[in-house]
Amino acid sequence: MTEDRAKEAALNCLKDEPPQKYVWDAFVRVFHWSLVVAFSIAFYYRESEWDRLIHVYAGYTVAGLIAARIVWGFMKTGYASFRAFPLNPLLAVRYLWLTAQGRSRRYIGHNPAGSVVIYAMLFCGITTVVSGFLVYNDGWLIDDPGYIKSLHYYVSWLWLILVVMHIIAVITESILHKDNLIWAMITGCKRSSTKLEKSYWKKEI
Amino acid sequence: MKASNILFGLLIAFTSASVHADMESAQKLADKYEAIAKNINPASTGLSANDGKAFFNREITVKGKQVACASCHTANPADTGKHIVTGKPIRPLAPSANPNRFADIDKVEKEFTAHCHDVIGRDCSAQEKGNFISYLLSVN
Repeated sequence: MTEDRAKEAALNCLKDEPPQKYVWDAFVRVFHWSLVVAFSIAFYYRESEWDRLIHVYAGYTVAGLIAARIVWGFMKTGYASFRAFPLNPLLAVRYLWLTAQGRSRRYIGHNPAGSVVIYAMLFCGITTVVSGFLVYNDGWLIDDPGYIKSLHYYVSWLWLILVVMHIIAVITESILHKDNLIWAMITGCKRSSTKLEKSYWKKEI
Repeated sequence: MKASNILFGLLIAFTSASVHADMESAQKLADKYEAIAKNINPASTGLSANDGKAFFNREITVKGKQVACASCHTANPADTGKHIVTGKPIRPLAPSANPNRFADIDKVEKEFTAHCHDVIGRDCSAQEKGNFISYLLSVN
């Protein structure tokens, strides 16, 4: 059933002119934009005690989304799989260096710098959600509200900084490699890559 | 000595330094607000725990609800409170019942700003904050 749908989606991308490749599956796209919405709601309703429940429910939604994404990442899910974007800071630095000169190669999935940011965002997301849970359920596990509150505060702002970096990178990447990465996260389709680019990850690892 | 032992020792040192029974710093903060209040209004006759108590229990209509500080913190600041939106317990406000209160003055001022805006829709005056602390200090 899901396989049929994936096949259908892949065929849909091929219908584009020029033909495109199906990269971001339905789960990844729904996850991505749901996370954007839930994160924004939690962020907007962060201050007032009156909005505390909205903030908490948005946070719990984020927790569920991240948990599902991690499970998805361990499955054989193509470009969404963690195997497709290994954490390699050295490659990331090199990629940034090449990008600064406008000569980095195009990756059809996450590029090396992108994958570092993705893992950093996952880490911040988990820490934000866990610390938030502990702030809300005061006295549970760690009996130091001051410490947990600061942790929740700083790690969520760090997460927001990473989100800003992610957006800047998406725009830079879209211009440099003549992609529309935002549209790709809506349709799932991306301009087809060359064979060389596709095998690049494997060679580097 | 192992590095982990040193780290653990430092952790203990930091936490014990930041968490400290603090009637003294509460009094200092109250004195500061008293001075500011006198500066703003030379007719101010100093802080009043009674006015603080009245302020604590005074109900205001916010978002269609009659609320006061006491709505969440109960009529006795030495008791455990209950958040009226989430229903979660709140640690006692009075330093006599909760030694962690007033351990960090920056935090107290931040909480004042957030709570005053949440409940009365504006910053509290120095006189109000000073009275409030006097009242909390008077609760056993």
